[in-house]
Amino acid sequence: MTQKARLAEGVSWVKDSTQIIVIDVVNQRAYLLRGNEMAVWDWMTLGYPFGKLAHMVAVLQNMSLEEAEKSLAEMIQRWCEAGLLEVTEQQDG
Amino acid sequence: MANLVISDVCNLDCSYCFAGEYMQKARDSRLPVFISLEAFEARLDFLDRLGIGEARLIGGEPTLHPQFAELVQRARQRGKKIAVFSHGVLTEVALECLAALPPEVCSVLINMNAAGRNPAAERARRYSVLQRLGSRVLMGYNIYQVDFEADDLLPLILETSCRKSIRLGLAQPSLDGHNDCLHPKQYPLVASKIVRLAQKAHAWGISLEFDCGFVRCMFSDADIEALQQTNVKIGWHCGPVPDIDLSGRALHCFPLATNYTSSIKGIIKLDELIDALAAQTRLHRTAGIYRECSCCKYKLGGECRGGCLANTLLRFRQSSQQVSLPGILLAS
Repeated sequence: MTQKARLAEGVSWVKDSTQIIVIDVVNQRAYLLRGNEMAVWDWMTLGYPFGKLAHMVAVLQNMSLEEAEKSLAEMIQRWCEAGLLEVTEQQDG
Repeated sequence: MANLVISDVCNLDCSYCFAGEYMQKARDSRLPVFISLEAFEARLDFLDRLGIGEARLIGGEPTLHPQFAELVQRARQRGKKIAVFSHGVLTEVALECLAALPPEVCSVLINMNAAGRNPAAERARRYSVLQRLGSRVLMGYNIYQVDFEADDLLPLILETSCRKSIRLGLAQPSLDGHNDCLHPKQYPLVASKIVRLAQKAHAWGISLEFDCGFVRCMFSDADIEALQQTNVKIGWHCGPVPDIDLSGRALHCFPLATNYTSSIKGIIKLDELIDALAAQTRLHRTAGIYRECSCCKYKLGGECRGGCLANTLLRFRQSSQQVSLPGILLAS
């Protein structure tokens, strides 16, 4: 099984000079992403796969790849719980 | 303030018109394109209920309504002042109707760079209208090109005894349309021209006033000082001034008309209606037309709204469409 994340319904965002503003019109919430979160959201929306993202997070935060994967997974989990992303599972092959 | 749409029809074809898309959809719906007398009475009831003393008639071109004079008369019978937003190429009937009203109760905002297929004839007719309506007229000018030229309005104001003021507007994008307008990055390019116009106008005893959508940062501090010295009515605002359309819905404004509307049923205070419309766009107002808006001191301090919301919404739309998803691969 392969997990894929995608934007939840009603979510849009814009990249500002110091933050990314993510709007969730369904739940009427706005999120301001800064620092590492801003970088990851930016890369993620450019379509980088998880492995590549983890590698970039490791470089950005000066941590091991293993730690970066854990940190990245937690970040995506938070966004899913906040309703910004939806994770779907697809059958491999 | 609330504006009453009485016509979904216009006989000019301005390239920058931000109501065009909405009007086209309204006409395509095959519903009546002019307000009925009955519906207009209901709108006047609405204004009465909200304690609004002015009937602000808009379109399309409001004066094309076949019963325009009757509508004006009915509003006057309720003691309403009349404000009309027009391209200024009026029929004789509409002109006489407005000219018959005392200037104290009649205001006609004429869009001076409205344009159709016969500019020379339209200019000539507009000139007669200006002469006839005189001090009832406030001239408006929409900026949609960097290289705009509005200096010729100055002698015209004095010749025709119109109000010694010009309302400057920045043409704004319609969310679903393709109208001509400036990109926000071009705003600073027109700022110096606006300052020069203000200075020249001031020498003629004429002042400028800003319509919605201007932003503080398009002007330098020196520009602002110069504008203040010429008594320009500066404003960096963007917010709903409800337009009540033919079907009785309140529109946030024409650029956002296809996305943000609210019912007027049960509304007894104008603030309620404005709040209902503003609530729909509250989240998006976190941002502005520029990447710097959300951390700008003028916006955070409430001095500037961050420009026209239509431009901000287009930023959201463009970035959200650029995602190379349907999904990023998380793990396998």
